[in-house]
Amino acid sequence: MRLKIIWTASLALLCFCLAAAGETQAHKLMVSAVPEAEGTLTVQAFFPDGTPAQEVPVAVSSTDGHPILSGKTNAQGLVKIAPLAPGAYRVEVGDPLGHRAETRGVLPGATPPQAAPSPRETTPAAAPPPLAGAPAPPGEAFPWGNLLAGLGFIFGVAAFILVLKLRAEVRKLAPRD
Amino acid sequence: MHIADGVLPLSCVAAGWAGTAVVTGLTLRKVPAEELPKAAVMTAGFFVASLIHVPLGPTSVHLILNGLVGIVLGWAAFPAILVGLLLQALLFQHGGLLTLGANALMLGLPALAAYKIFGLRHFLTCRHPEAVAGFLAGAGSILLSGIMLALWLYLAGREFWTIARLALAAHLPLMVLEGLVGAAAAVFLLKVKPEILEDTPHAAKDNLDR
Repeated sequence: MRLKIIWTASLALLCFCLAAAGETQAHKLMVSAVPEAEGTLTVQAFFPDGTPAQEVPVAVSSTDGHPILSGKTNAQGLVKIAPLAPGAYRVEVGDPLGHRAETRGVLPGATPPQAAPSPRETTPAAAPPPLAGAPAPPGEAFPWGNLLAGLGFIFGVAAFILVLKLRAEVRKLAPRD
Repeated sequence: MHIADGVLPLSCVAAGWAGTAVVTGLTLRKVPAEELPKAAVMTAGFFVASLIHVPLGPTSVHLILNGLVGIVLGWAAFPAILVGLLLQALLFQHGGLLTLGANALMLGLPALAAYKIFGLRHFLTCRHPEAVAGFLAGAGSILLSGIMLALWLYLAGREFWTIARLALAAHLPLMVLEGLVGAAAAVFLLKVKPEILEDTPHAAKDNLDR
């Protein structure tokens, strides 16, 4: 009877976890970098459920890692980085609590970016309304497959070890010829 | 509360892995194979809990449940959390593979501390010692994890008190939430199946019988 109550409660807890997880999604920092007007890169930082990552430092550097410009996201998780020469850039965001994400942004043009002599600060994008042409936070599909794979792995490995142990016990008990 | 790859310097990464190897070795020696089904259920709970995400101001937090894992699994909590973190890094990209050692210490050691805190209920003289101890274990594990996070980031060259204050502020609601989860789980389990908890007399008897 008690065991039944425990299993029912565990099942209810698991259902709650899965339902809540479906609404709010996962936890990691994501970033996108989209070229806007000439020399401007719009960087957007967000969590996988589409929630903007606010006040997050953004660093833009050349592909070889030389820092060029930096800034901070606004309430929509956006920041406009300008002025930038055409070329490819590495865009890095990281909040103070150890979350970090990185992407590449490319401004159309043939010339690679000239590394600036020292990093400069740029201002966060204006407060609402959101930037024109800025991408909506894409969000991420709920990782049902990965979730099931993880659960399968955990219970599969546990079952495998138990079966091995059980076999060893049975062999010990079995009469010898 | 996961540190991503690229945040910690290589020395911290190495220290994290070394510490994790030592603690995993020590804790695995104290875990009987019969604990595996319970450990698998709690590992699954820990693995899924990270998907419950609560946006809070400039950052976001998610359920961790390392305190509950510690209360239920005792010494087995550390390897269980290590496996959970590995799967979270591989399948959800929470944290990183390089920082897995540091993350395991950050969440696993407070889980062991929660186990010990929960054991203090035998010395409490209040009306519901198991609820109080469960709350302290759940909330305390988050507090300790926040302090360890600040320590790791301090070692990575950031300012300790700034990070510690920020981590505390960001995880304060989570501390309360996980404290309540710990208290509710402790009261419930002690009522319906006390032997499931590691340090109950039933469990001790079971362990002696083995």
